[in-house]
Amino acid sequence: MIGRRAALALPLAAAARDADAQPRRPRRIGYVHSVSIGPANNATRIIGGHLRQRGFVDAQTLFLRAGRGDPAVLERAIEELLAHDPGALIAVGAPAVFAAARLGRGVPVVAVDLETDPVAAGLAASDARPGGHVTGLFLDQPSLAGKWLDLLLELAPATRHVVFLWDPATGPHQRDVAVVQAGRRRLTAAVVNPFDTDALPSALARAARGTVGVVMLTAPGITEHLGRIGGMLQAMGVPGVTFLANFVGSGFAMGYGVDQPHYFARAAVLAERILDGEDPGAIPIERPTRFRFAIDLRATGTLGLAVPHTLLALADEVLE
Amino acid sequence: MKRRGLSLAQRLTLAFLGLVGAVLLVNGSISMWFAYREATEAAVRVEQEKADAAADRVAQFIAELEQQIGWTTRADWARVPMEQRRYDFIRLLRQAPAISEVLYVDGEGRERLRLSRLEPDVLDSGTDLSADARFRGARENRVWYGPVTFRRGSEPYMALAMVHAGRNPGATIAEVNLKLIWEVMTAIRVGGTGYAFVTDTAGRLIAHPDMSLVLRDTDLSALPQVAGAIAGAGERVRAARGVDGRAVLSAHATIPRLGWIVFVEQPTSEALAPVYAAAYQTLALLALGVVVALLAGVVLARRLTGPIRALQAGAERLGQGDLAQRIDVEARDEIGTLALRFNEMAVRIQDAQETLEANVADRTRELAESLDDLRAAQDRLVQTEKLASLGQLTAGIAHEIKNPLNFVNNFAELSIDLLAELRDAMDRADGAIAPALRLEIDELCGMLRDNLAKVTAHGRRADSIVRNMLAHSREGKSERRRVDINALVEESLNLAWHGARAERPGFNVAIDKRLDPAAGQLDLYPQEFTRVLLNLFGNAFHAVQQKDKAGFQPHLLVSTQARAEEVVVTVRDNGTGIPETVRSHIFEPFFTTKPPGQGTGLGLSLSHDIVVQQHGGRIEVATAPGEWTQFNVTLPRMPAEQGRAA
Repeated sequence: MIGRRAALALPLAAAARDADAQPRRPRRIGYVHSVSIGPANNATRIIGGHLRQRGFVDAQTLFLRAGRGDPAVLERAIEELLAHDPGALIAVGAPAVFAAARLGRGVPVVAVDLETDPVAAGLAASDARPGGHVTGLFLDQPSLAGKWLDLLLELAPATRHVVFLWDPATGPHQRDVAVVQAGRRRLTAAVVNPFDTDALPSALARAARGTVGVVMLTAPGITEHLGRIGGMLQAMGVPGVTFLANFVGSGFAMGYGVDQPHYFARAAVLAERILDGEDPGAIPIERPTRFRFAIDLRATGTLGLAVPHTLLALADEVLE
Repeated sequence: MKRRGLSLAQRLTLAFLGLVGAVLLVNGSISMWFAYREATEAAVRVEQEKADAAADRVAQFIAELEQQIGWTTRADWARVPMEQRRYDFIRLLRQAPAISEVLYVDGEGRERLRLSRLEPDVLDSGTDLSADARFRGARENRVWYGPVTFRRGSEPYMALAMVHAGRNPGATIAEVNLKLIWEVMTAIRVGGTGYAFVTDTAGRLIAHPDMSLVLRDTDLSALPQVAGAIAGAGERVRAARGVDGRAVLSAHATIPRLGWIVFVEQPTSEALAPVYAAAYQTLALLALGVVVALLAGVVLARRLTGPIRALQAGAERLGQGDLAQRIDVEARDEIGTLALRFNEMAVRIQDAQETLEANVADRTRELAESLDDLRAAQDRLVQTEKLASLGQLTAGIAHEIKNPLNFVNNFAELSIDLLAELRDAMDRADGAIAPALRLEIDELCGMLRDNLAKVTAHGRRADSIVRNMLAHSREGKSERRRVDINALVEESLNLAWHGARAERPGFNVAIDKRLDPAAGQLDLYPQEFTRVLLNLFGNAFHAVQQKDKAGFQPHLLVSTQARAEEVVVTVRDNGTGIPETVRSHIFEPFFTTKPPGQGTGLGLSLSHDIVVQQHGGRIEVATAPGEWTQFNVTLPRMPAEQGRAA
């Protein structure tokens, strides 16, 4: 009976839906990451995984390219993607978002950008109605830097010096806020490019042991370097906070940030809606709703730090 | 068969179809109507229940938040250390993901603690919030729900403020990110493709399974169902257009303390699927019924009209004269009976026809026979009349010739006598006449005498002919008496035989007599009839004599044959027979095949006269030229007078 009802209802429903359907776009997605599309890359893994689950096939309907942190490579990657006539581009990281918006020739862009204010940057008219061909996931929340500093201070109250890991490609806004926030807490601050392998040890070496901590600001494509940086922090006995709540365990003591698997999955959903014919200019920009806090008790133990119960109460995930 | 538009079969089929179709239609319409009403009511009920359930879920979402915030509204909370308060707030944020920011405001309206997911914690800022709507609302209402605001014009937020217990209480204010109701909304199942959404009392969309609609700060107050719900008027369930323009069945329930309205909408097609199913079912049944009725109608009409057509065709063929036509109808009903009667009728007509034809044939045959008889009689009559008139003519001629002939004969005889007297006179005048002269005269006289003797002889012959001719008119003159016919035949045969032997001593013939003793006595003219017999026998002897053939055995059969009313005398010879050209003339006077001087040609003519005219009998001839000739003389037993009168 249910089957028959469904059979009766479906054609009607389908007819009703077809009546106001917009022209569909080619069911091909170009994915460009500012830095990396390696298997360890968080966004690529999450978004690519969702798209493949939805039936997209690599090199047929799903094309992945990386900018390798080089604007020229990024532009070339976008041109390559456009050659496949994609129905939508998914751009991860501010450089890729801007490049895709600029070079995309009107192909809708679903942005995954944790640093940029899309309205201020001119990518969208408003959150509710972006109006252009760029929409997606934006988190311009530089105030999070204060949050990370507080978490660091709560774990290691002796901290007097903080090293910010900042990717220049994400823009200076976050760095500036972070430095100001550090000053408010009477901390001296240094800024280091996380992709620069030599800069961090020298920066850490400058401060006395036990008084220095590391805050990793958002940086696309950094996940592949987490192990290296985390290992360095462990080796040097430095507490670190990262924006990647899901990658605690690599040597950072804590992670607080967007629930990436939950949030990034929306990029795949929005991209598919655009392929189905929705106007990207009418798809509101989505801000994250869920944040995670994770703490690695092994790392804190190595550092010889006692974890206050407030931190434990806040933690969504505790590694022991 | 064009006199009507539709055949009987078609009309029967249509009638059956119409009847069954009408019944099915009425039945289907009624059941469809009831099914429609029932399903509609059920759908309305279900929608209402779903709306209530959805409202409960949304209210539950808020109620859980209240419950969790409730941990921080204890009376002793104002006295606990700040660290404990912060810990409680951290736990609150940890437990309630929808809360993005939480504040503690003391009894004086000063902000004492603020925790946010995005901002650093703020302790004891002392910001004066005593005039803040959230604080005032909490103080006045114990629990206060702020209006829904859209941050950056996109994300829906609502402040939830709860006053603490105790004297001069503070308040906990939570900013709730209503995006998280999304999980509640997507969890609400409304049929297969139905959905639920929430608006505030201004019609602004708070929650919808399609997050984008909410983030777009959609104003739905233009939708009639939303407007109706805001006004609190109208039914709780109504047909409407959904947010996406589809026809839906919309139901709503309000959450009064929040001022929210929860809608559930299900596509009409889906909500009314049972109705459609019932309708399709009814239609399918109707179609099936009509098809069955059509088939049944066709079959019935065929079965009904088939025999009728057979009847019709049979009647037509019968009408065209095919009387052997039978109608093969197996039905045992009225039509079968009709066909039976028809067949019986056809049998009777055929019988009558056959009888009629037989009768006509009989009559025709009888008529033909009568006609033949009549013709024969006419022929005979004509022949008889012809022969009779010929006979009379002959008699008349003879009568006229007789006197001159008598003169010739008499004077010839007299001249002979006179010649004798002349010789006597010359004898007496012997010597007076020179001997030579005398010799010459004697010679002349002798020649005269011879001539006269010839005149006399031929005169006698002529006289005999004339007498025979006169015999035609000599009827009724001899005596008539009863005679033994067999004796008469035997006597005449003897006479003829001896006559023939006398004429030709070497003549011989085998005579076969088969006289029927039952022939008996007949009333006839013996003298005349003997002439007939003698004539027939004479002809027969002549015929066998004429036949000149090696090894030929002349044979004559004479028989009498007694019949009920007549006696037949048969004379059959195996002589020359009578040629075809001659046969029709043999009874005419003066017709003869014999060389001149040997027959008068009156024998058979007379015989015919005697048998037919005098005795009222018949004389017939049958012959095979060169083989045989047979004369049949039939004499009636009844008195000749009667025969003649007949």
